[in-house]
Amino acid sequence: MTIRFQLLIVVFCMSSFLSCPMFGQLIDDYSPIALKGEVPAEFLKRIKNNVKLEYDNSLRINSTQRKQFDIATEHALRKIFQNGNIYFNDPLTDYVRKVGDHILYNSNLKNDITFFVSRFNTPNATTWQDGTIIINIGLLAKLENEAQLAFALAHEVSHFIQQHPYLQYGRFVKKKEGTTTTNQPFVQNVDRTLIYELEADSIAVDLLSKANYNYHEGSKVLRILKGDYEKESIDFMSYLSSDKFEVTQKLLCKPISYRDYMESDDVNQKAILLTDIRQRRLIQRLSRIDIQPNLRLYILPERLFQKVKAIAHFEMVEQSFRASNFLRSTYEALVLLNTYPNNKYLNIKICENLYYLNSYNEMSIMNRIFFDQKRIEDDDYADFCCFINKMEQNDMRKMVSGLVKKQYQSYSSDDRMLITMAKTIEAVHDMKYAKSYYERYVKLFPEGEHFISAMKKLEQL
Amino acid sequence: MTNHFASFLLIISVTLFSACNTGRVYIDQTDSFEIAGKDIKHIISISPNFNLPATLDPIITDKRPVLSSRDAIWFYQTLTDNAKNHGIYLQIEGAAETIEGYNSNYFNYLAPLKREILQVLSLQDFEDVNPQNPDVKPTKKHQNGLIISSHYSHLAEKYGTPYFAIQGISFVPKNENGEQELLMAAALPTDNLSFVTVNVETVYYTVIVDVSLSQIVYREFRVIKINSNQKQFNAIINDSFSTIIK
Repeated sequence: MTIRFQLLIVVFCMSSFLSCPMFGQLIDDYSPIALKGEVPAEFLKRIKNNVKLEYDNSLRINSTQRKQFDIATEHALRKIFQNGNIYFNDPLTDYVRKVGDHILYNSNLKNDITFFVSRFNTPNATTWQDGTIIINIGLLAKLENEAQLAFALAHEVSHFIQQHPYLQYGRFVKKKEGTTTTNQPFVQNVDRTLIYELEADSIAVDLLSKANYNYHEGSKVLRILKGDYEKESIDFMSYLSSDKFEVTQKLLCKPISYRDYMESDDVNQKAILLTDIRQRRLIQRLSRIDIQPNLRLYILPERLFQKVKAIAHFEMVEQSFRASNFLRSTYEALVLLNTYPNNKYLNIKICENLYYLNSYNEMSIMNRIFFDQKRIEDDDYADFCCFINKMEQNDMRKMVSGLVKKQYQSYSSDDRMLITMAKTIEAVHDMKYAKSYYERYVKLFPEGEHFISAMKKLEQL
Repeated sequence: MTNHFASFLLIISVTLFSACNTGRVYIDQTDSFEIAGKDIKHIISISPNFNLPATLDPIITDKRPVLSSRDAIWFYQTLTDNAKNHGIYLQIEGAAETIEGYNSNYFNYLAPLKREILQVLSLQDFEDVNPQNPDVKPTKKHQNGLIISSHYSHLAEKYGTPYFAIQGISFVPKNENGEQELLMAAALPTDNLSFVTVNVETVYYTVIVDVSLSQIVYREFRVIKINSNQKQFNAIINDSFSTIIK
């Protein structure tokens, strides 16, 4: 064995060793992203309205209209950033910026554009005329490789290059003034949107080509945006069953019933239609390009992408929970359990979600907290929502207490599990039975996030 | 009351806000607030809103006022001065205009808490939650029980008080009859511009949460004239703090 070969083995072993804890950590547990350190200057300036909007006023809108556009942009950005919707000093943003750097390599746009990642679950990304580009965790979690992320970012960069935010505003102003006329304003708007999207797709292909990314992945991104991708199925029947309660076929909704929950409104259908057209045009364009050698799915290590994708998905669970969208949070957790069946965070988070769902069911208001109504793409999710929504109070009580008790046996030393157990026992039985769990929490977790709440409960006895 | 979370009482009915002659005032508070309210000495006010119209944005055909934050610093000062006059230390956190040394605590705890307060308010009243189903009517019957997550209770220790508030002056939409919905969630500023339409009134609002009880304990909602001057605003805020410590 040569020394060089031995060295290679050492390097390989070390890199394997270093990469293992990342996924090892996700296999066992997950800690939601906590924002740390000093708030970056580029973040603060968007809160303090210190952004600069520079654009060529090609539509010749007047100074008042320009001011209105500037104010509207600044105000929207300020709210998004101030309300804690954007991550900073975190692994997702770091990664997205690295990919963004590759796209903008050798470009004079580097100083004009800043990439951010938002906590929003919608699979989407947005561009602002000041150079802010925000990609949602909902999109990050669904992309399949780095080249697809590069396409999504390049598409947004293209919107910025072409000044599409300004043009959209400017054309609307002109139309209102009567400078342009149409008898079919909606149709014209759709066409205009489509033109901007097609332009951005086209420029994105050029940007990816220069950066050596495989631009053929672009059409797959559009497929993902349409919701047309392979979805993981979930087995909530067996997961939610326990010795206290069994989820049987009889309790499930029939497909004809749960399809009522799936998206059907006209706006969504039109959005899908637009994406369809984009996809066809893109495929046409790509078919005309000579095959370029050495196009890559990954420029950064693949494992980095896989890690970021997984973290984004875990964050979807956490952010849905924080937004009180307990059905979505439970569903995403169940999907992740396919890959990480023993993940403590996921198992406990489902219990926490179900505790709140049960609370709403106790108040007979389940049908009103269904945030995703008519916007569901997945059969499994629609089935799950339908099942939870039509559940009898008594059944849900048994199901939730059964599951929480089952998980408590595995995670009784975890503070979140213990407090969920205490709250569930209190809700399903009464405080007399829950007392010992609250006492245990107070004893074991004097620094715990729920400590004061648990103390108050005991004081009220 | 046996259930602590079933303690929301509507204690002050709809009255004209005669002191300033500027509009209507709606207040509700819990039993626990009635007891503790008298001893409130310290409130954390999370990034108060001060949004008054600067211009009308033509993007949404004159229906959406572009909001400006003019005079926000004056507003914060008026809030803290009036609180002080009533023996309350009002600590403003997360206000963009005043805070230089932003720290992560605001983004990790206070901004999510503010979102959650708005979310719970929304769930309690169910206005617009299910707009696609006209059969589901808005109701005010579910103010009991819905709670802020208990993991925010540790903030009571971190900030030295269990009371956290969202406050501000903002636009709210009217309902179909042109009337203001009492304490409806959509009426409270969600920082979501889509809620703002031309059919609006201006409100001053305060919602106080006791994080140790995981409860919204006090809600106040005053409809005011859009052209109220600083003196009138000051009187409104002064009266609000008088009510809080009553």
